[in-house]
Amino acid sequence: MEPLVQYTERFSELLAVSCGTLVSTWDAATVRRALQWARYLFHVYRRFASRGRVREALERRLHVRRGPLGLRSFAALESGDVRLALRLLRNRALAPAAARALPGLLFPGPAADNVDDVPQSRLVLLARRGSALHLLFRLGGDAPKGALLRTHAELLYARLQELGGADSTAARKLLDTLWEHGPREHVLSVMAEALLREADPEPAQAADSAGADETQKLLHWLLESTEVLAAFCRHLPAKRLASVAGCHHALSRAYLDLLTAWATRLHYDLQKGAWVPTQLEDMPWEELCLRLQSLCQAQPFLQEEVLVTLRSCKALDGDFEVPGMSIWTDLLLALPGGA
Amino acid sequence: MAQEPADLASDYQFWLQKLSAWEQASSKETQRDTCLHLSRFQEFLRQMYELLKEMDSDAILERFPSIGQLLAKTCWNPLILAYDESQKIVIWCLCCLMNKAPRTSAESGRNSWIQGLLSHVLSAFRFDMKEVCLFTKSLGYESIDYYPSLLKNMVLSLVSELRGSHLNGLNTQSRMAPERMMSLSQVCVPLVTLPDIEPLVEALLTYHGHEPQEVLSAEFFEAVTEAFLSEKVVLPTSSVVSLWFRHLPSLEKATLHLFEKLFSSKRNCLRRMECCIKESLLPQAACQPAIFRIVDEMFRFVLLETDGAPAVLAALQIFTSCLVEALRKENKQLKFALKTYFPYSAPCLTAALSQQPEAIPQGHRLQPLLHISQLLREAVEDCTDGSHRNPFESWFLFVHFGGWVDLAVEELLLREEAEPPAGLLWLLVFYYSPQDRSQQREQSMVELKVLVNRLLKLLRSGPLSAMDLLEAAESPREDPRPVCGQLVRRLLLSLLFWTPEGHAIVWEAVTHMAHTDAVTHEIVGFLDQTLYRSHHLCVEASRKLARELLKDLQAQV
Repeated sequence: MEPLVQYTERFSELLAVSCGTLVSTWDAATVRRALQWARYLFHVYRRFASRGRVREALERRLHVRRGPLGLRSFAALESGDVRLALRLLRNRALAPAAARALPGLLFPGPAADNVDDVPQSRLVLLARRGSALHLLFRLGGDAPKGALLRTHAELLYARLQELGGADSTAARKLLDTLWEHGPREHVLSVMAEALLREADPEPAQAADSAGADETQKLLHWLLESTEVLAAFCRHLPAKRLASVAGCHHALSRAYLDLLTAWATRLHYDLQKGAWVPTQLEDMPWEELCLRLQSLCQAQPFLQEEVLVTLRSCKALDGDFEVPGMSIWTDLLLALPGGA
Repeated sequence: MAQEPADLASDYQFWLQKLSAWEQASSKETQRDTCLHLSRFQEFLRQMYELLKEMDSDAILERFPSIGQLLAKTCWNPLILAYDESQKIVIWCLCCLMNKAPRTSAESGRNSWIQGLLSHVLSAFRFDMKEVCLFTKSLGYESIDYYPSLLKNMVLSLVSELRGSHLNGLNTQSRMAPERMMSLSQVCVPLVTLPDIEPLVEALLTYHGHEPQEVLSAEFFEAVTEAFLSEKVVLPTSSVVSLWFRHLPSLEKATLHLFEKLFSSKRNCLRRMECCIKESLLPQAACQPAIFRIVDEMFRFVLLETDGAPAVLAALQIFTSCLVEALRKENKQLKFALKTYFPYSAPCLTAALSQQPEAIPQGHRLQPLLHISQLLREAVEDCTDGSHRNPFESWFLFVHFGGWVDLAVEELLLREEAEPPAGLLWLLVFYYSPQDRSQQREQSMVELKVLVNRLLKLLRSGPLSAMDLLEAAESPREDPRPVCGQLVRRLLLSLLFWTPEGHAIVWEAVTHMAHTDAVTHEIVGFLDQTLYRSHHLCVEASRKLARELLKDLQAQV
């Protein structure tokens, strides 16, 4: 076991430096040896993928010593050679002798076509998939955006799942990093997609309790940060927010609180006969109505929650029935079932 | 070998010009032209690789000064990179071009350039969307991690869009525009052999829009057909049937492909034929009368062209039995009348023939045979208006259901009565000589009766010798119309294999009979059919004997 762990750690270190400048001292023998290591780990993966104890042990060690550029999970053992190949091909610092030898080592030719422990077939498949993506994305339409969100949500869940065994602080750090690097609107969309995806799991994941943990991490992070939560509730489309709120009660509660807080920032303009924002960045009346309407249409219990909340606010305002006196009265008039 | 350099050189120039015209493949016409040439270009690349791999980089550049340009243009064309094995072969070509021992800065520069091209090919998806790079990078993922799931999700998104379009029907909301469907099908042309794309291919094939014209490109149907026939994709039957309905040339190609498989093999084996026919999905598709009519018409042409070659008849009979089996499985609720499949014949005749001969218990087989014979005779020889006069159509229908001929021979040889029934004689003469007129047929029936009686008399009169049997089978010189040779041989072989007396002399008799390749092939066909159908007397002994003899004869041809 220990030699295996050491092998894995050494390869992980080697992988980490493969996109840096240290490769300027590599020769063909070094590249060949690195690929042999990758091949060995490929077989380790194939052999132990379904054996829980060995896998868990390796996973633990990888997490403890994890660097940003090394192997990140047990599953990565399967594609260590492809990862190494891509980095070396892209790395202009690679020594000339090693660079000359690299293509021949990666692509021996037809003889390696059906050999699955060398990277040729998997690299070629990667090339073909890349071209396929290029062609399909070029078609335009809504499909690329949807596919991208879905994929990023899956990747996010996979990463959170890997961190699950370590500590919850790491998850928060990761999410903070994503938020910081942005683009923020995209990060928010991915969050929403991830929260929706968990609510509608595929059969294989239905029994998986790990999914619930990732969801909780995501929700906690979202709800703990007023900045992120406000951005989430402000910038995502109303229908999408209603869907997410319908799946996670804590979020629907927080969303409704924000909407009511934003509602209090509107005042009635007698001349225009409309509720108007106090400041430029405040949410306008139309947007507010749309969001509340979407909540009412999403789920019966959400509608009930909205109506109860607005009615209690209306009562506190003096229970006026005429428009222009209380924003709660006017919102209720605008909502289905509100009158 | 002398021709090769010149041909390849002109091909090279042709493709270099094409690649220049296709730069980046952005316009519709350019994409279409590229798709039309993908297969041939891949073959060219393969030839180039076979040549380059034997040369060093200096020799390559001396002979093909613009090879770099050609390979670079190929690498920047996503349609080519996405097609089948083209990306693999172009990678191999680039590796051949790598200079193992560069001496000048130009040579080193070229190596760097090759490395850059390889890197580009392996990272072919580089879209403008900033979100892709930043998000995945923050998470620590590389293309190897997200290409598969992104492609899967992209396919799912497009399939959902198609399904929405399909279910919306004539509603105005969110229909996929015909132009978009055309573009989507065009883009799928190089991708049909990529397993990730299969759900999208299936969704396109089974999409039933409401436009009067076809909205998918012909190149798409041809690409799917080619991939399916070469077994590079596995598609469900419903998708294949939909393909054939929407693009008739693909149905014709599938049928021709099956014929080629069936008839090009030197060792025809009915069991193998059956496998080929079932794997082709044509019997299942032919449950749709429109498809059956086309496949059947193609069988008709082949029969006419080959003058009723035994292999073609055998294939038609197996196809028909597979079809009947598929119909029985499928048609529990909805059933097309047999007239829809066989419109040129009387429905009662078709109904009689479509019964399974094997299902009729022994001792009760004569009556159905005589009934079929009577119906056929009425159809062929009566000239009333309600009938179908063309003898060929009746014969063509009859040969679809070959089990009846086996039964007729069996009943003729194994009967106890003194005289062979006229109906059986007629049936066999018609099967082997459908073009005869009534008078000729009557004469043939007389001769056949005499022959059968002679053979049976010989069989029942003590020890049987091969030479006696063969002599008895030869027509006396004074007979004006000898019985058809094929029919005579079939009767002889049936006697030899189905009777204990025949088993003793079968080797000697067959050795004498097999004096030409054609007759040997015929005997091989008979033996194969004997093994294929296993409802004869002395079943096990006959099968063993047939198997041994078949092996021996196959070694001769």
